[in-house]
Parts: sequence; C-alpha cells; structure tokens
Amino acid sequence: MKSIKFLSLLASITILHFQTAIAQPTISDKPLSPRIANYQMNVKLNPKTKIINGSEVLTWNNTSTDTIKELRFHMYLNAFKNTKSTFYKEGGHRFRGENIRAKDTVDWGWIKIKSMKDVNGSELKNKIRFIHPDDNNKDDRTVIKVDLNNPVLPGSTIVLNIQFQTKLPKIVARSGFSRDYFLIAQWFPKIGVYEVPGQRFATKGSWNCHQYHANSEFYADFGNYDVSITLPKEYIVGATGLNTNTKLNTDGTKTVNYLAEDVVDFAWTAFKHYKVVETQWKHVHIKALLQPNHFYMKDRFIGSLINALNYFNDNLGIYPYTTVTLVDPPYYALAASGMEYPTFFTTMALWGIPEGLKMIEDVTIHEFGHNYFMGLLATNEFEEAWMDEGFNTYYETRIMNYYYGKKTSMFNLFGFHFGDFEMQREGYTGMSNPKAAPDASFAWQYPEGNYGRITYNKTATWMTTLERLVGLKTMNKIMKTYFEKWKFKHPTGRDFINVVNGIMFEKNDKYLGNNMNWFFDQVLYGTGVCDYKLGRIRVIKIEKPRGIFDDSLSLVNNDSINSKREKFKSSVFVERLGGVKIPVEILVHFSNGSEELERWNGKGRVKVFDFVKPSKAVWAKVDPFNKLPIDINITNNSLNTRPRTSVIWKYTSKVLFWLENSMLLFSTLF
Amino acid sequence: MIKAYTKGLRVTLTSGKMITFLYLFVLLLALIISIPFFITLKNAINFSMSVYPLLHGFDYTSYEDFIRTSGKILKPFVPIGIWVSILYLIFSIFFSGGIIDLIYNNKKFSLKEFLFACGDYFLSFLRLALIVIPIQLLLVVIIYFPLVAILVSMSDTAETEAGLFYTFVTGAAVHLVLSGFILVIADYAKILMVANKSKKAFVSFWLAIKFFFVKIIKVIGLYVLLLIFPAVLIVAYLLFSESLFIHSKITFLIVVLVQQIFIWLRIFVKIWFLGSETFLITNLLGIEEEVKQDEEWNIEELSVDNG
Repeated sequence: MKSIKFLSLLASITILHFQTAIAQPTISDKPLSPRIANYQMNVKLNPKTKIINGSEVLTWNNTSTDTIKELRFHMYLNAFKNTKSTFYKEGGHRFRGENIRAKDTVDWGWIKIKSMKDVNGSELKNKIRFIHPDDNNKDDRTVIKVDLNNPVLPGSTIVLNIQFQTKLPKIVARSGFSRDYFLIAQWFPKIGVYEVPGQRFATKGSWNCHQYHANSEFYADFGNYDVSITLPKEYIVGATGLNTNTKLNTDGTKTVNYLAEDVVDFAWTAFKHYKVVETQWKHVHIKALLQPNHFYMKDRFIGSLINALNYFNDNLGIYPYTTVTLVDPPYYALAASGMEYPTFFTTMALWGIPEGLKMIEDVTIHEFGHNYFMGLLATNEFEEAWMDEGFNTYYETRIMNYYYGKKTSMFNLFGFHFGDFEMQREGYTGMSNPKAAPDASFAWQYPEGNYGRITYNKTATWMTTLERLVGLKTMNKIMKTYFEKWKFKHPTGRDFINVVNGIMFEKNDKYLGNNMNWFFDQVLYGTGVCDYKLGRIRVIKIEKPRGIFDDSLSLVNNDSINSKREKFKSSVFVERLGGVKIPVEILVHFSNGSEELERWNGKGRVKVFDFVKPSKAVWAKVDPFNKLPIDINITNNSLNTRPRTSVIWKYTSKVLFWLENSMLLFSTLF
Repeated sequence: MIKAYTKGLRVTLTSGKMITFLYLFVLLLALIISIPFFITLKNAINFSMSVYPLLHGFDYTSYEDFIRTSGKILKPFVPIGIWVSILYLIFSIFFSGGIIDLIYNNKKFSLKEFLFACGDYFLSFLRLALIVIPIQLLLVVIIYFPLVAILVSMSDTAETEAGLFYTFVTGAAVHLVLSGFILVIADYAKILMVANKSKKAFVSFWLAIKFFFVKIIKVIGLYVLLLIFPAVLIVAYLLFSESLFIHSKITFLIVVLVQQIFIWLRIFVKIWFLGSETFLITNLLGIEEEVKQDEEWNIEELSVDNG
C-alpha cells in the first residue's frame, strides 16, 4: 500500500510538473479580465462548400445589477449575404479593392443559427429577431435579439448551446475564402456587450450591439475561447491563442484545438501552402505563416514584430499573452491582409518588394499594435474608432521612426524618402476638407472617404502634437497610466482624457495649464484646424528724439545724447488663421546673430511682438521646434527679410535637366 | 561591324561643333520654360523659409506642404513641358537631315550648309516620321492589350504574384526590343534617303526593312555595341547623383555642369549611332565614295562584304 501510495504521489507530482510545464495562453495563472463571454466551440470546415458547421457553448456572465431578459448577438457574416445589407449599401465591399461577383452564388456569405437551447433544453430559435439599431435597414441581418424564457438574474450566468452554420464569403473585407485560402473572422454568433450605467456612455443598463457597417470594426467582451477545428489534414492552421492539441482523424481530417484566455475575439486561418517560421521572444512564442514566395523576407516579418514587442513592452505595457501568430495572405487574398485579432493578425507583403519600401514592417507593427488597443484596452471600435486606430497609428509612427529613421521609415528609394509620421500627417493635412467631421464621431457617420483620414491620420497627428507639447516623458507616463488603469475595461475617450488631466494637474504646466480639456475640445470633439502664420516683420530705425521736451522750452536736438548707437524697432506679427488655439512659440533671429524665443497663448487673431535692439530682426518662425505638427500649413510659419534663393536655383536646375532629358527622350521616337 | 562602330565614333569626335549647336538648341528650348519656372517658384516661395530643408536633400514634409499650397501655380509647367518636348521632336526630325548629310558626305560643319541640308530633307523625313511613329504606337497596342488580357486571366489562377510580374516584364522587354528595331530601321531609312537623294519615304522605309532582315546579325550586333556607352553613361550619372549633394554654391555648379555634360553626351551618342549606322550600311552595300552620288542602291544586286 505504501508503495502504491508513493507511486501515486510520484505520479501526481509528475503530472503536476508536466501540467505546469505545458504553455499557458497568458503569463498569469489568474484571470486577467472579467471573462464575461466564454465560448467553447466544435466546428468543421468543408473547404469545397466553404461552409462551417459548428456548435457553440456560450457561457455568459451577467455582471450587471439588471435582470437581463434578452440577449443580443452579432451575426457579422450576414453583411455579405446580399447587396441590401448595411455594409454593402455603405460601400464596404469596395474598400479593399475586391468585389463579389453578383452571378456567383459561391461568393456570397451568411451565418445562420440552426438551434439555440438553454440549459433546460428549451429551444430559443423561434425567439430570434433581426434588429437594426443603427439605421432601421430592415434588410440588414447582422444583429439579432433573443428573448429569453428565463431571464438572467444579476450576478448569474446563462449557458446556451448554439448550433450554427456559416457560409464563408469570397474575401472582400477581412474574412472568407479566396481559392483555397481561408481567413476566418467574425464567423460565429457573437454576443454583444451589455453596458451598465456609468460604463462608457451608458446612463442605464443596455446592450451595445451595432450593425456591421462599411467603416466600423468590432466590440466585444472578454472571455475564454476553447475551440476545436476539424478540417482536411493537409491544411496548415493558425489561430488566436495556444494550440493545445492536434489529432489526426481516420477520415483524412485532423482536429486542432486552440485555447485563448482573456480575449475579445477568435479568428483563424487555413491554407495548405504556408511556410511556417517559429521563434521565441521572451515569454512569447511567435509563429509566422508565410507565403512560400515571401519566405526569403522572413527576417523582415519577424524582425519588425520583435521590434514592436520590444517597444510596446518598454513604452506602454507588458504583452500578457504567450503567443502571437503573424499571417501573410497570398496576393489573391489581399483583402484579408492588414487586420487584427487577439494574438493573431494579418500583415501584407508582395514578392520583390524592396527594402526601401517598408510595407511589411509598417503593416506588421501596426496590426500587432492593435493587440494593445483593440485587444487589451478593447475600446468600442464602432463608437470611438479613434481610440483604437488613432492611438495605434500614433504608436506605429513612433516605432517605425525609432527603428527605421524619422525621414526614411516608410519609403527610401532613388533619393526620395519619407517617414511614417510624415505620411500620417500628410494624410490629415492633405484632406480636401479637414473640417469634415469631428474625430469623435461614430464610425459610420463620417462623410465618405474621411473615416481613415480622421480616425487614423488626424488622431495620430494630434497625439504627436500632445506628445510634443507635454514632452515625451510625460506622454509616456500618460499612456502607461492609461493602459495599466484601463486594460480589460473598455475605456472611453473621457476616461483617457481624465488620465491626461490627472497627470497634467500634478505637472501644472505654466503654459498648458493643469488640464488639457481645452486641447481635446478642439482637436477631438471639434472640427477646427490649426494654422498659425508669421504675417509680417517690420523694422523701423528708431529716430532720435527731437523737439521741445521740458518747461524750459529749450530746443533739444540730441547732441547730448549718445547718438552713435543706432536702434531699431522690430515688430513681428503673428496671426492665427485657424479656429484651433494652442500656445505657440515664436523664434526671432536678429542681424547680430542673437535670438529671442517668445511664447504666445495662441488665442487672439493677431499678436505683435516688438523688440527694440541695436540689430534688426532678420527672420522669424512660428513653432520653430515643430511642436505643432497639427498646424495645417507650415509654409506660412516663417519669414526671412533676406530670402535665400539657393533652393529655387536647385530646383530650377533640376527642372532644366529633366526638361532636356524629356526632349531628348521624345526625339528617340524617330 | 567593329569598323563601323569605330568609324562612327571617329566622325562623332570630329563633330563637336554640330553637337554643341544641337546642345545649345536643346538648352535654349529648356531655358524658355525654366526661366519662367524660376520666377514662378520664387514668387510662390516668397519670403518663407519652409523650403530651406529641401536644399540639402529631400524633405517630404516641406515638399508636401509647399506643393499643397502652391502646386496649382506650378502645375501648368507640366503640360507646357510635354508640348515643348513634342515641339523638339519636330525639330529633331528637321535636324536629322543635316546630321546624316554631314556624316554621309563627310562635310565640315557650317551652320548655313547644315541648316540648308536640314531644310532639304525635312519634308521627306517628316513623311517618314508619319510612318514610323504610328507604327510605334501600334506596337504598344499590339503588345500591351493582349498582355493585359493575359495578366487578367492569369490573376485568377497564378499561384504567386511573381508569375504575373515576370509575364509583364517579358512583355515589356519584347516591346522595348521591337521598338528599338523600328528605330534602327528608321535610321537606316533616313540614311538611304540621303544616300539616294530620295524623297520617297515609304520606299526607303521598305528598303531599310529589307536591309535589316538581310543583315540582321550585323545590324543588331552594331546596335547592341552602341548601347554599351549610353548604359555606362546612365549608371555613371546615377552613381554621381547619389554621391554628391548640393550644399554650397560650388557643389551646385558642379552638379549643373555634370548634368549639362550628360545632356551634351546624350546628343553625342545620337550622332554616334547615326554615324556608325551610316558606315555600316555603306560598307555592307559596297558603296564606293565616287559611286554614291550617281547610283541608286538595289540591295539584291550589290555584293556584300563583311564591313
């Protein structure tokens, strides 16, 4: 008996050791998030029919104080069912360059619930209704509500057994198939978020479950995903989370199991021809699924991902998951590229792309970065897209510029170059109407063509402006505080602003004040533009005083005054052309080489700075240290009373040269 | 072939005055646009310092903001540049007669005689150009329309984008080669018109085609040989432009000088091509100098030597 007990103990210790030696999806043994929506799924993909048949056990926790009588779900893939969906009507099918051929039925996609039962076995399918909370489009089928037989009491849990079927669309936007390639996202009935009073904008408990729009992305609660996928064994699979098991079946298929904890979504990919690259970065297992003809660029994929991991961990917060999967779609499925899911993202590459064009690095860093904003902070991408896209783009510019050069991080070929932030700024300043909409708009409410420019480019531009105003150290403190305080909690813009204000209150900056509401009211909630102009430099020689000055009535002609030293009054006129008012610096350079740095609160329309000096003002610059990249026009930020023509000569000589070459080229036609 | 190549070079080296005249003409036409461009740019920049970062290299932000605010006033220079280039094409046709006449008849450059010869052959060369240029345009249609159709159909089945790329590059290479052959044939047609003192553009073009195919190896061989120097020239210029940046008056002057030498050499190369082709066709058709002025050529009748 003793020996049996001993052996049992030994076996237990061995098993325990083995279990702790097995990788976990996160770095923590404890839950990192509230784990409100938990899914256990068994699904089977038929690559020929493009259909997934699945069973989903949803465990949903009611963490509110409300009794929940209905549930709401996203049925995203119904956006691809026909041309009457809201997604289609808003032109979503065009945005990534592909389109569904109307005559080809296999191209369309949909999702349907075959059965939905509660723990008592009661069928709820007949209680399902399609709703249209955003636009009353009766033909849109991307949101359902389900009336419950037994309401979910506060603090309790409901478990639903859902049988569903998904027909994957041809990839036109993120998800579906293209030939034998599969990128499967937003593919299962996904419960919405029940917001309690005070959470985000909710004043009373309510469902936040929007329709699928052309410009919107997604919003969901945290939870665990335990997913088993069965498909033909030739397919190489990648997914959110940790691959815990792979089993070969006797019918030529295999079943792969994935476990993901504390995530808001689950996506996966299947393709026969991936070349797999695996490596380790600290606690993170990196798996890259690359196209065979892109394999020679694997160092670019992996290198940029590691750069992102390093930078985010040092400057924002620890990446808490133990896996990350990078997916490189083939050229015929590029509409699935450049998209993010928890611990899993698609990048973008083309064969032959030169080192000087940093597309691979840019997309990899950007999509990985979403793990922090979409994935860990999990802001509502429908209602505050800027908090994900804009913040992430801001970090993308920081990382790209840090590793690949401020002026060369995006493109550097044939003497022409530009950096990531330069490109983002130009995306905003180059808008035909930068006042089109406030940054803080719902995703589907931006005027056509402006969503990207405002949520990505404008947000990154004002974030960089904020950084330069408060200083990098303070900005890092703001972002780290925001991240640590609000990860796993779905913050709003106001929550972020409160963090900023809290830190600025401590700092109590002389020029910026002790809160930054004035800044956000203008750049985030307003539509004005920032444009300061160096209007004029006027220099007047100060005349020596002449005339009669005292009661003696004696004539003064200043022979007694030291008249050898000339003095000049230089007046520098600074104008505010835009509606946005930001404290601004003005640098004035004098003929004797001295300089004066002035500050203006930026509020009036014109501010005049006068200088009385023995030397004249030669040139002046508004915002000399580029603290206001949000200034929409830098060409009017400076004046030089002695302009240099060297640039003009340089570019005229270039024009001369290229004109001569053009003429000689035309002459080769005959 | 080598003799024609070296003879062509020798005659080009002695044609400095003509080349310089042609270069000055190109420069003058370009200055007619560049000077107003200078003034317009100066007015656009005014007293702003925002473009100063562009002096020592390229600065995207400075460039982009400037183009956004002032690009409209500079835009008209683009179509003007294209029209001037087309105008130069007509002048080039005009000058071709004088160039070939000088080379073929081994004359010394005299501006008056040169321009007289140019005028003499202008209309016939213009007629020839009206044959050659449409052929070039037709070639673009013949190559690229099917190429695009092939690429579109391949995009449904090609495994990788590399296949599409190589297909496109192959098509473009075929176009480039065929286009080059048409230019060479046009050159020989021009030479034949001068040699025969003929105004018959179509007949000369047809004779040139026949000559091309009869002597295809030598013609293509000479063409490839002649391409070496311009290829080296382009590479040398690109290396130079990468290594030297304008940061002072002296470097500016050096860059401008090198650029203008490059243009002069481009014209030099054109003369070299015409010179070598003249000597090749002369040699291969066994034409003696004293015979040239009296007889018309007939390719089938004349003996051929190895040149």
